[in-house]
Amino acid sequence: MKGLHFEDIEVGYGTRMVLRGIGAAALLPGTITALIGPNAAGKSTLMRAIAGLLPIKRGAIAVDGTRIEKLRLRPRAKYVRYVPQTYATSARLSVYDAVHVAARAAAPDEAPRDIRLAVAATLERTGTAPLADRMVCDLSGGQQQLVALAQGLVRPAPVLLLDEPTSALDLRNQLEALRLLRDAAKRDKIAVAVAMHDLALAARHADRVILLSQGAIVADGAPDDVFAAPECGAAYGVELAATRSGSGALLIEASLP
Amino acid sequence: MSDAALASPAQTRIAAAERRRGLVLAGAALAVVALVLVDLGTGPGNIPLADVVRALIDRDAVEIRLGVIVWDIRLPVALQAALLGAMLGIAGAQMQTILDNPLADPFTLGVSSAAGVGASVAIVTGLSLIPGAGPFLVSANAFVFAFGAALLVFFFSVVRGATSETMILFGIALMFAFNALLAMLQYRASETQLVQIVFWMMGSLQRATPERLMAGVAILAAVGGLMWRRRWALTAMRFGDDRAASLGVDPRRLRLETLLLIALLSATAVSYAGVIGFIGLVGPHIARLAVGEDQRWFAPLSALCGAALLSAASIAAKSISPGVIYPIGIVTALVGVPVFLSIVAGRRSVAR
Repeated sequence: MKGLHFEDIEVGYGTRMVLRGIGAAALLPGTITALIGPNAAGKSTLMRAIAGLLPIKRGAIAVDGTRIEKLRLRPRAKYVRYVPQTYATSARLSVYDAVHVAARAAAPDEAPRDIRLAVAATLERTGTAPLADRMVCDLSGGQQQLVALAQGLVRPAPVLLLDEPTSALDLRNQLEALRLLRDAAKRDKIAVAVAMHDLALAARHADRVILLSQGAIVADGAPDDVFAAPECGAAYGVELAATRSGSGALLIEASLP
Repeated sequence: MSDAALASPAQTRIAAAERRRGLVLAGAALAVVALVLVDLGTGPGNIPLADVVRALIDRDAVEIRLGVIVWDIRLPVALQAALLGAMLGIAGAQMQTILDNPLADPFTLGVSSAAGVGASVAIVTGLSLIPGAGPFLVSANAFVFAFGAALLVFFFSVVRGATSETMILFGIALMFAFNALLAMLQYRASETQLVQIVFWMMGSLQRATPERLMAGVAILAAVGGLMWRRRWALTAMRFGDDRAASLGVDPRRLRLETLLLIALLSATAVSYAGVIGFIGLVGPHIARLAVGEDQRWFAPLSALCGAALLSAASIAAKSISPGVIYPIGIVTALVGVPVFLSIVAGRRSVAR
């Protein structure tokens, strides 16, 4: 079974459950899945649990058929790469060094020369090559977010989870970042999951949408189906209408009930 | 993918940056050697530097008195200054890294207060924690207490989760506890003992012996080697626990391991020469400004900056007033602050 499979994940702090037996889902290699849902629905928690940053109380997580929910961080990094929401950093490292150290930490056994080539290629792909010798701490928020993206892409794992990876990016960089993720998914055969708030962006760029609400999956399917489902509007507490425009783009209109 | 990817303008600048950092490192190493030489040439007795160098090259070729002064009196002190400076510099760098706080230093978590209590126990009660410590009673006790304090932080962090906040809070609580204990011991001490405690706390490089130097070099080499093996993980920590963890670094475990290594360095340093402040804060700071925080350059340069600063302080301790050797702990701040301010001010004006 290729890709990421998970089911019945339970995560809680004390008696408060953040994820309560989240339903089963499979993320296939080469595809982009958007993880949507209102604030505190459990999107970040689900990603952090899969990446091994939060202990799970129950449930199964498998990547390419290997169960990983009990793996520690080092072996787990071979299966999952996670780009957290916080991209701001005070690190006094050049952009090149920042991506280079990410590659070295993630692939300690790889030849230094291969690593250097991979870093150079990743800087080109993410459009950060012109910034290569700038200090990360001196960059703008959007540029720092691109560096975080490059760190997640430089030594890819079969599963890539990104939490709001375009929140600080301008329009053009948003589009380029999503195209980059699509290329990476296709080229490296990785299953990409992106948590996002921007439904229009999700509708346009995701192959599939998973809607989370109150710690459980409430809808899962093609963007058109999920946005048309009554659960979607209900989860956000709004009236939702999804229509295809003349050019085929999915338009989403939301209004307060 | 071809070599063309490595030949872009940005890549050329990166190669240049790597060369520059290598040069900075080499320059710092030369500065340390020069400062140690000047340190050897400074002191009561007014010996010209040329004579010092002559004595160093061939002890038998110079008169006995000169040989004794250079080899037996000054050399251990000068080498110890560089050695302890390097220990404090690298310990400070890693403490700042694992606590994600540029204001941390090797003594942030109560190590110096604990060492003070250990030394005071030895001075006031004569009780030894290591049987047969003999003339090293005070140092041995200081080491045991300092390392013990770090172990307390370690075990508390294991139980409560090794985040930087947990460590800092517990370390500060520990520091207050040890300060109170120290005050208590001082209150009960006789006047002579009190003077001894105060002098010990001020720090002194004069207690150097060749055996202690060897042991210190071995500790620094071992700890430095273990830190070097973790260089990528430690650098990745600069992006926060989550990003490091996603790259396969276990931040909590790394933090605990590094804490033990730092404790070994700072406990050794404080047991050798008392409390020497400032070096472990400023050494890494200068290194960070010069080469950034990639551990390949940051760690060794922090050690070299620490060594250079403490050698400079050792020179100043002997030069401020002729015939008087001031306690090193007083001088480090006196020397360090102007150096530090000039670097920070110089950097600002360049940035504008």
